Amino acid sequence: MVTAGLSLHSHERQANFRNFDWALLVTALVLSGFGLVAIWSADGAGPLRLGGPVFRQAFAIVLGLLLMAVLSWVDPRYVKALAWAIYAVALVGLVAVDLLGVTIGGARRWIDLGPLTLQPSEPAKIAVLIALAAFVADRGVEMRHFRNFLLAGLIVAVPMALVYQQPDLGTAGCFAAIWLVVMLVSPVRRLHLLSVVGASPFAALFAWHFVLHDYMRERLLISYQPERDYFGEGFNIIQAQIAIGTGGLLGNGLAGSLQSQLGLLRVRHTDFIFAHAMGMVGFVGGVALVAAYLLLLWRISRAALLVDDLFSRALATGVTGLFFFQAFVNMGMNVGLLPVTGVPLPFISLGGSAIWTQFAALGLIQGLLTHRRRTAFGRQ
Amino acid sequence: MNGLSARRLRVLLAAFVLFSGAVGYRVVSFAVLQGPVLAQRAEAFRYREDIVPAHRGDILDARGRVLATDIPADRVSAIVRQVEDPHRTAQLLAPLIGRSAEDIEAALTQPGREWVVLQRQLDPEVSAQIRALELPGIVLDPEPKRAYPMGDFASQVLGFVNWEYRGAYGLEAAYDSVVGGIPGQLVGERDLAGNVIALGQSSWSPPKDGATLVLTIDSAVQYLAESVLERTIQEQRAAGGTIIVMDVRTGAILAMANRPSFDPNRFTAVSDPALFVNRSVSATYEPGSTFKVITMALGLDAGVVTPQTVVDGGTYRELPDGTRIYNALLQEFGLETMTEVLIHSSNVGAMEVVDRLGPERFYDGVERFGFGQPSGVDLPGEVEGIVNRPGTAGWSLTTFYTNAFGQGIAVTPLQLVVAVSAIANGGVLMRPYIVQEIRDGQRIQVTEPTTVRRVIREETARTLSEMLAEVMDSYSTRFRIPGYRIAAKTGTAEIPGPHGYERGEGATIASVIGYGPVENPRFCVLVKIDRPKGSPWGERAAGPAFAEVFRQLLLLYGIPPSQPVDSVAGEGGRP
Repeated sequence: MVTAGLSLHSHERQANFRNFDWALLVTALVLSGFGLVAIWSADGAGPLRLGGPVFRQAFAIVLGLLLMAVLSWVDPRYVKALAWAIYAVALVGLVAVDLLGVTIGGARRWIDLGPLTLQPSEPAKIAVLIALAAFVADRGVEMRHFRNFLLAGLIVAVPMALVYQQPDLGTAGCFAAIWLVVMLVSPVRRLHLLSVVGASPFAALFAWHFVLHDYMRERLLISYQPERDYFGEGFNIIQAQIAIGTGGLLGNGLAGSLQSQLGLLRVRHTDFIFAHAMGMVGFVGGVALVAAYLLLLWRISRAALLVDDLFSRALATGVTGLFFFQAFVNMGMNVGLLPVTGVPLPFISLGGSAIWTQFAALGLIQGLLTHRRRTAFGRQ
Repeated sequence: MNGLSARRLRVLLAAFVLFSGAVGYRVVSFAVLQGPVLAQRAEAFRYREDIVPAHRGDILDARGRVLATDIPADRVSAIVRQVEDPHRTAQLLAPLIGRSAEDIEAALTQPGREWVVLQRQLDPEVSAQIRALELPGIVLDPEPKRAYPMGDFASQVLGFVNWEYRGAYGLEAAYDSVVGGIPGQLVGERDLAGNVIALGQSSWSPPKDGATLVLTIDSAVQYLAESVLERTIQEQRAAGGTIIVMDVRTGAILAMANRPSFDPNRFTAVSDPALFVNRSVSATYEPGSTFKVITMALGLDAGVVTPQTVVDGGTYRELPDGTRIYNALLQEFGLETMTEVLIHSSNVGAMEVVDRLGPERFYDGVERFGFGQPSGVDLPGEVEGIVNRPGTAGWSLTTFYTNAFGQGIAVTPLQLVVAVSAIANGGVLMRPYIVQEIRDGQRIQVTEPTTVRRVIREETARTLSEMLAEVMDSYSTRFRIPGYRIAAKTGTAEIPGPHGYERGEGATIASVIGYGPVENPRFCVLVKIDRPKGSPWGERAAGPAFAEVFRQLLLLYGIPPSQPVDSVAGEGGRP
């Protein structure tokens, strides 16, 4: 507990770029480069158009890299100081979506900014994480008190409720994942954490019987037995499995699977890009992709272990948890392990807001690393 | 802090590894273990017609018994270039799918074909066997199959469903757009070259299921008709026959049985498509003496004769041109009343009636009874028959006088039933119908009985019914229905051939038409036996069958007898 209560001006620290994690950047670049190819392929691998999905994605990546570079320079203590302002802006964004948002595919998630659309729930994920980490770091050991445990839950519950009614179950799940991992590394009482985790199956059972509508239950069942509604809700799940299966060992190359070529696999640029990619690169490519995500998660959690203040650790763990949740929920729904909810595959799914948010998150991690103290003997 | 949170962080890392293991397992499962199977499904999607068949509605009888329904089946096809060993594949499939191995091998090796359907509508057991063979390139797709649980039962009424899953013949054809529903379709946006546009939305328009038909056919009556017909044809060594039972009050067809017929489950086994035709509505015959009922009805209604009108018979009538037209077997009946004309089935007597009517009143009446025009029944392929009026090429004086006893005129069995039913119900011609209800989801469309026109006065109808009841009593030595008063008339019609009427064994159509009970007629029954060899006569060849159908029918509908059952009709003197 050496870091709590640091004042901003007491020991100004310079960014030390010898601590910059190049492996993390390269991994992210490889993933997003692969993402560009996958989007191009999903789009039919035709001539590239200005304003087409590949260009839009590339623009978001460049923007994301700039954000990352800037955040690598920023002392995390500034970030922590601004936490509640960031949190407030995020909430305003989420409310603005409700009031001004455009509806696409039955959900109101986007704000139209002329040439661009903004999805406020994406940056909100990071904003909420920053606020939560700041709260946990400020309370420190007082997190043992149930009141603080509850307050931490409230910080997440408000934006979660806002995105849930968009409706966006996937993003709501992301907030829950962020909360869980941050609580995991915070000095909360094990009893509190375990009782929440232990109560969740009962809560799920309750929700199944009393909260969910029939069509929601049917959708959940279809996720596991897509044949229940072969030509309806289950259709894309079946097409995704066929696309993955036809990828075989080495894949079909840039053309992708027949399911993509014939347009049978829907939302293959975004939610179902993993299935499309598997059709492209096959089993070997898929294993490489999973390995790339494990490498990414390892590099971020390594940062979480290297930093020694609670804010930094909570932040880094939260980012790890967020990427982990997004990557595996997305892949899980593509392979029929998890219900279909709109969660992007990090660095790969088409979507500007998601992409630059993800790079910004990496920038925060780099900022933690470049500003950490020499720890060779600093750690207890 | 470090120790605690670092330990907890490792819990998180362990979860990562666990989850990647799970995803990895699924990927291995899809891409490696199930890969070949899924690859075949992918190809099947490519080559599949982009059509999802709709569920075809059931056809039920009036009691709700299933006459036709959809059951699951499979289609087996081959993706030619994936078939590794055409010879072995053909050998293994041949015994399962009912095609010769040579045939299958030829289909699998024909040049330029990427995909070929090998067999359709396989039973689930057979598809399971094929699946178990795990032959590369052989694909099974679900497709519905039409099943007729009763087999060869009202088959020409029902028709069947062809390979395109469209109705062929019978009600399946007539109501195809109602029962068949609308197939679903894969709608994909395509560019000018026909390629699916990758960014375009593609979606399934779901199929709309077909409606259920509820028939007026009562399978108990239909079964009775079919079995009696079958037995009679065997006994008489006849070529075929028809039995129709109609509710005279409504025009609802309760049974319509034809022989020879076919099993709609195995329509492919039928080599002669004539078997698919419903001869009750699509084939005509010369009705012979059963038509005297119509002649007499018109004579009575016009007032040119009464039941007591006496004609002086003789064996023949000589026409102005010198043509002589004889009674059957050259019989001489002497003086006879109109009732006796019907009892004797006297051609000379019937000719006297039309002579008094004159051609105009006779033919107007015949047309009022619905002959020479479609009855309007909701069955496909109905023909109108032939009535030659004066002034048409087919007409002569001979035609006029022979028409009096049902020769030289062509009617469908259903037309005769509808016409005689009009006499039974008091003189009103009803439009016959066979579909009672169309159930389309929540919408139920019920067929209401339709009156076409009044044909004769009610009093005429009642008088004729009494006369025909006496005629029925006179048949008591051949067939009878104890306890009930039934109106009936037999007929033995000659069959026109290329050189005049046919002669010799099996050259007649023996029939009986009748209705009852006379006090309150409910049913009209026609039994028609084609080319009987046991006896050429309607009374002997078709009479017992008529009596049995009617007896059982009255029992089935619980209609109480009007006379003591032990009083044998015909012995106790006539009123």
